Amino acid sequence: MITRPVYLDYAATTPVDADVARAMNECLTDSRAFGNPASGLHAFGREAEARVEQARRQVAALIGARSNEIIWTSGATEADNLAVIGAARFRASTGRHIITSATEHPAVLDACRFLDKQGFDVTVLAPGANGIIEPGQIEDALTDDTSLVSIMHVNNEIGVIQDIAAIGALCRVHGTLFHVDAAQSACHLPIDVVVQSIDLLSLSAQKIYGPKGIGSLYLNHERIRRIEPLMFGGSQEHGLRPGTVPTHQAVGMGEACRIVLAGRSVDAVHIAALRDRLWAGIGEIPGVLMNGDRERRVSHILNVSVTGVEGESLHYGLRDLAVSAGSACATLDDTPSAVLRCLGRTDQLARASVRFSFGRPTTEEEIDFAIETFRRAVAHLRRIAPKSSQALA
Amino acid sequence: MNDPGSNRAGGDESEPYSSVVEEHFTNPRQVGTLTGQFETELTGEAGQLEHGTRVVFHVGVIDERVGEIAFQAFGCPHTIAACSVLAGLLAGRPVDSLDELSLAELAALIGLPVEKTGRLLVIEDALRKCRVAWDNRRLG
Repeated sequence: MITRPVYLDYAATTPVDADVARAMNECLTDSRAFGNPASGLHAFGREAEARVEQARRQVAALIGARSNEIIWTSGATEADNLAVIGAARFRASTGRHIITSATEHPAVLDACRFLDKQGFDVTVLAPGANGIIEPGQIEDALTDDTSLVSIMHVNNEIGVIQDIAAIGALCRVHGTLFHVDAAQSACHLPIDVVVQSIDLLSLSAQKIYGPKGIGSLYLNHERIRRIEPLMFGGSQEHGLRPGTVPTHQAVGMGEACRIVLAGRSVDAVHIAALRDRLWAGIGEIPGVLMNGDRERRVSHILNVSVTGVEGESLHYGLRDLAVSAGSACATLDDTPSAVLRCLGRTDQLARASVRFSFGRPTTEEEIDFAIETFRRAVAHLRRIAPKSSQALA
Repeated sequence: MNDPGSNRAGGDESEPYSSVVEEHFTNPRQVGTLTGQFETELTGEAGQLEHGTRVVFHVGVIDERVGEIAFQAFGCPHTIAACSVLAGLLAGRPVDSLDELSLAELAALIGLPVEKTGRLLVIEDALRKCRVAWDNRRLG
């Protein structure tokens, strides 16, 4: 029995894993865990601190880092802001050039725009039609003044995987810091900050079955021990992110990381099979186009555009599915997805796009329902539309 | 991301579309082209696909009245619903009055957000072209 709407928006956020919720609840109800983790003078504080540090070790283990290289933040957006602005400002005396890509998350792009207004020089690379930034593009853009390169691991809209190991190696040779937004990849792909030559890495708990409101930034202490903070008022997190650490949130993120590490390979097989099942069901409809590279893409995201249908109506036709638009058309904002426009899609195709994303709880029955719903919606709109619209691509 | 905004009528304010839009989007009336044979058939098209709205009305005339009306639409749910509602309202009306619709009344009927008023203007343009075609036929 299908419960409507069917949730296929795991790239937007995931439900909290039951074990994560249990661990958080234990923190909230244990009479000794409510202390301030910075209050090391008494047992209450030390109990909270022990739990926070255990969680920090769990986060570090997920990405091959040391626990003292993990800074708690409010989420990946803050981690991205802190990485880009904090590192660029801290290293401003040695270089003021930053390289990023046009398909980065707004948390990186807007931070770069902010720096641009502050007098930094920002190069925004355009990906190919497959959404991939080639390492050679980075190499060509690097200058003696480049202080930071920020490239996401997996694109949040289309799911393509960037070659961060190759880009990291280039940055290392060049002596440039390398930041990676790994919010979409941590749950699905192995990450090793040492092997992949990553200096700063952003994570979000809510994308990995953890709670909302917490994330982390990894800081490679062998390359950069300090960055300029965005907030002031305390010595927590080495003074880089002041404010009382929310113990239960940190514990929730730590537990979520532990579960991902233990089961990621099993999840990947399950989720890739669901993605392939969906594509087999909708990819054969004429005029349904996959967005992004067909091979170098993560298992949990499938983004498609549809010719000859209007985007808002397509999404209304899919109202039994909780999916994301390639644009914010449902908000009456007529701006098509910047990511899809970067890939060379027309405004119509960028608007008539759907991001399906899958998670641990997704079932084959839900995918089959999604296929049927999608087929029906597209056929319905094409029946209503003038013939001339069928040529629109 | 999916907050559809406000300023809607005809249903639960938390829902993005009114019940009228839901019904006419799901079961649009008079979709396609004319099914009957008419001595005078009028067609009016307006809007641009690239801009997200294109509407075509087909009118079959009997005794200077709308004998049959059909539409095709590429557009948002409000556009499709508005065309469907209009097709019902205009059947049997004098062809002379095809474009004499009240946009405000139609907007209220379907719960159109004010930001989308332009979509109704496209529909009005398509109907006006039918009326102009009628005038041209009649006047020679």
